[in-house]
Amino acid sequence: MNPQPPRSGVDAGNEKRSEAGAHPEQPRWARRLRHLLLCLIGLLYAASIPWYRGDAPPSRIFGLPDWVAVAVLCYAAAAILNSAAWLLTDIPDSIEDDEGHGR
Amino acid sequence: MTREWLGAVGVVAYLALLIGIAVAARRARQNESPADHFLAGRGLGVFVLFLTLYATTYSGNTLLGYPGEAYRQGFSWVMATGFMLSIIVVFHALAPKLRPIAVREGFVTPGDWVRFRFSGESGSRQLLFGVSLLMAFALASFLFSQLKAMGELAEQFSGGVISYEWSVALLAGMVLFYETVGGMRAVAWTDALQGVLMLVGLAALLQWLLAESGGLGALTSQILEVRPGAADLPDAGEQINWFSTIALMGLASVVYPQAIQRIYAARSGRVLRRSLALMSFMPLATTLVVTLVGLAAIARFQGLGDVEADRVMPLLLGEWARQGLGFSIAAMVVFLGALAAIMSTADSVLLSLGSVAAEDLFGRSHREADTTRFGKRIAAALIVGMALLAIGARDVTLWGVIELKMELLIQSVPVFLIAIHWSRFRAQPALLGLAFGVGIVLAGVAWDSQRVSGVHIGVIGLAANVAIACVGSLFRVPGRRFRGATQFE
Repeated sequence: MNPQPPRSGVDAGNEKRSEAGAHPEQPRWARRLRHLLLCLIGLLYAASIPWYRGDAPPSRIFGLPDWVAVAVLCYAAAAILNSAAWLLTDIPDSIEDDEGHGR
Repeated sequence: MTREWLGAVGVVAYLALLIGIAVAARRARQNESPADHFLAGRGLGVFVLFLTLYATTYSGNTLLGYPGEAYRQGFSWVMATGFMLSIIVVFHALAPKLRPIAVREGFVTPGDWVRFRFSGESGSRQLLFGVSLLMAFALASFLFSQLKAMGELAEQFSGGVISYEWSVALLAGMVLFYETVGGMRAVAWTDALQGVLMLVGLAALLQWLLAESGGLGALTSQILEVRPGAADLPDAGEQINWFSTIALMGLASVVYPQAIQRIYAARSGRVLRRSLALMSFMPLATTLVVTLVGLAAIARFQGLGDVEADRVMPLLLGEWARQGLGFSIAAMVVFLGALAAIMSTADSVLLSLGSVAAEDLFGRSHREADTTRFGKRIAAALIVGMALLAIGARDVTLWGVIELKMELLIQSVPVFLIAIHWSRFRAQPALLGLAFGVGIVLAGVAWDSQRVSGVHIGVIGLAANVAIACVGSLFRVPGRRFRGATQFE
């Protein structure tokens, strides 16, 4: 192994950097809604696995065994919510340096 | 015209198109730098980025391994749709924070993050080496399974006219050609073509399957006639395994080097988030469809063994094609779609493997053109080695390869997901946790106990890994702290 030296900007003498501009302000409602959607996705995942089901023989929903159909519906709903959550996600492109110049 | 001839004409036309794309990508290159070769100059737009993410994520494992597993497990394999979606969910924890740092620092490989985040700390070099080794192993085994899937598919669809061995050799050579000639640009452009082919092919196959079976209800009834237990509610152990598989696949897939490199390669954050928003729907359009394919095979092909089950997709295509010329053409589209899915993953994996090996394992600078050439040479050597292995070790189930790869790769998750969110996370405890996690997985493999009460040994290893790394970081003497974005203090 012959690892590279650390990159510039991470050197010991140049460690402290400005946080200004690192994450442009996203509306609070958008952040909250995104977190809510991610929590709902977690709940849908928990509901997709039939741990809460009794031992009764499966009935049919849309031609599939009910627990399979429930799992598919949960994943479909999670896909919609996840897509919405991504559209609400802020992924900044530029980060400003100490002088406030974006890169 | 026979099915074999149709298949041959389709494959030749498809390969000719790939060569044309590779040449066009070569002409579009801006320079010989690793960033241009391995990341297409960081200029991928929404359409190409989405399709390359799609074609790379859905692979030979998806097209052959997942139907095979659905055939073996029955309806409980619906979990596959969940774990493929979980990859895009877990990306929320990584992409928004990693992307701006990667842009600013000019990252090319996943190892660049490790080098940046832990620079100057004792143990950071060993940590970089350990993480890179895990990633290289995961990529190499991924490449092996893609080559195996290519050979199986081409042999089955051509009715044995093209042997498994020749298929592996020919298609591996083609992947190496366009990856070497055009780099990420060629890979992304061919991925776009391959993604479209895969979507069209799967839609046609689903339509045929449902029409042939008489709808979902009739399909379920046919399956239950052959295998009455296929619709039974999963027992407690199987449910735990369901949770465990979602955790394993969702977490490990996020640190796939080729996935991380696509975060770097996006033209902008806006492009990346739109592509990921679209990707959320792909498990339903792809994984769910191939699961239904595997389930339909239960009613059509009885008594297939574990290894033979990986061939249910080509067997179904063969059956479909025998019904007439129109069906042969439709089956050929699906076959090309499946082949495209496999090749698109193989090319991305090969490109990633070349860059990880050149920069992170052998320490070449990411700013030199020589690194690009070195990465290409490594990629050539690796694909030859993996092709020989795929020819020699045909009797391995694809899902078995996937699980082992994920169980090892998941051990590098803390170095990305925890390190990017927690400023006190340190290199030495992370290295110790990584070594412990890998040790648990290897011990499980050695003693042939890869699951404990339904939980994957990789997930157990990860729990120990995280505990050691976090407790160790808490008790380390406070030093320089990572403050998010690009800051340390």
